[in-house]
Amino acid sequence: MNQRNTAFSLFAAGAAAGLTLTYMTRSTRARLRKPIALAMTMVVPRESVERFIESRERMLIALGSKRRFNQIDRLEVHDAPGNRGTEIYLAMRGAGKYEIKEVLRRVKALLEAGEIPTGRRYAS
Amino acid sequence: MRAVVWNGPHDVRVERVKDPEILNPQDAIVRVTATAICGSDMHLYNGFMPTMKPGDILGHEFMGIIEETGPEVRKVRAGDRVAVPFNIACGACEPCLREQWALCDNTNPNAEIAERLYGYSAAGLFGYSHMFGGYSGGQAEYVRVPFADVGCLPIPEGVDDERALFLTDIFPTGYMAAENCDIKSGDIIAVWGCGPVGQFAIRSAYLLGAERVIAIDRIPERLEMARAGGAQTVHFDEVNVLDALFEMTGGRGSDACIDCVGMEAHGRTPDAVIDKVKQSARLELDRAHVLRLAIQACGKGGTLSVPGVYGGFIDKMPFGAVFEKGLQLRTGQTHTHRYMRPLLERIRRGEVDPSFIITHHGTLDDAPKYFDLMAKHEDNFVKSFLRPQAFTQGEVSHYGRERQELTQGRR
Repeated sequence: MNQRNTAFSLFAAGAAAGLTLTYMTRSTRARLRKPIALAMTMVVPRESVERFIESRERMLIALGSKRRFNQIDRLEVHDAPGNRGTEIYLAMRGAGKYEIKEVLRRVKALLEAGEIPTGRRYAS
Repeated sequence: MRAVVWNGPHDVRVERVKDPEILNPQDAIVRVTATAICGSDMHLYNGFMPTMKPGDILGHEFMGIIEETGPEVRKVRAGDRVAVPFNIACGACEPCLREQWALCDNTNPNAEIAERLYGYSAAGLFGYSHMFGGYSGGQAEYVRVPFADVGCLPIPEGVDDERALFLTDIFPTGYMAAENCDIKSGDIIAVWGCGPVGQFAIRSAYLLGAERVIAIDRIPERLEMARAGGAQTVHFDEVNVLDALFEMTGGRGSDACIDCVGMEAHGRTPDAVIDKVKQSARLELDRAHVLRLAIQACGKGGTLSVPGVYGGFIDKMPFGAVFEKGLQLRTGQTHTHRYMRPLLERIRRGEVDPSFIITHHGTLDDAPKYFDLMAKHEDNFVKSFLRPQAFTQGEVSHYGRERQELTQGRR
């Protein structure tokens, strides 16, 4: 019985150590990895985009939380070719591709459409 | 309020749900006076469209009267009678400015899901899964309409609901399908699927100058309706469609083929049987038998126009035929906003009366029964026209009561 308990404890400790190590390796790798930069084009003049990103209040709406200000690694604005508006490039530390896209999408929606669309349902 | 709610495949019920409210400044609340079940709703009903959730309100063909508007709605106001396109567009992004309204960049709050599947997302849609925004649909007494100024088209008094309702989807969809064929004098157009979109594609092809339209289906009453619209018909269970088309086009093949069927095509050839098995086993999303046939039937240098809905990855696709015959492929959700005004004008002028398509009048309560009839192709069902109870019985919903109390309080 004792032997069985010891074996189980060893297995549990090994599994826990393995999971911790995997988590630590992955999070360290994520920290060291160069942040991904993503871009989105908005059909608004460059000045409007610059005003938007300089406004902490409006950027907060796009970012969703104050914590995210510190995650911003690169935020650049360029003219899109052929008068197609303005390109925004954004890289964020510790944020996934779709997280960054979501921020860009919110910036774009606010700048172009004036509001962030929601499909929140009212059905119970 | 009462609404048609999706609870799972083949499980659609009329339930009491919470009333919609203004969530964004450009929203409007529309009291629905008429709605319909679309052929593409059947993909939801049959459970082939991913990202549906129990409790979702269906319906993307609806019109009604504006009850309330958000503070930034300028062009329409309470009391206006409007038709609302099935896709939601912001009117300000690049696709909207190019009049490609169905590709709006800003109206799908769940764009991420579609991007993972398709690379980019199309516009949000009413009542058509969470992949397209999770917006509640219009098979209900009330509906929230985002970007009301962009979407709501006021309908003049002389045009009744029966003629105006189908401006919201099937008429523009059929019209765009025909327009995508770049029809020239002498052209022969083959249309697969004589459901509502097919019927409008037939009539639109003639409006745009087609010499002849050949309609392909197997349901007698639909073929009859196609003949009434001027088409020659082919019953695909009775003849070899490719041989028939070869003969009917003098050996040239169709100048353009329109696939109004989409992801749930029927057929008896091996590819159709394999599709059916794979779709049943959830190994494939689309049964693309008609698309394959249309590619084969299209003459050299022809055009393939696809208004039928496809959702995933199609195998056994004869893309070599597309390449070798130099076919053009034109497809996509309809840019409904682009067509509503000009088609409304055609209706006003009496050139088209879209109400010919209605075979079943009913109320919201009839929706589950009509879904079933549609799925089984019974009772000569082609198209429904539904009146919500609040409209037919003069019932004032919770939402309406609140508004009345508010208004009386203000007075």
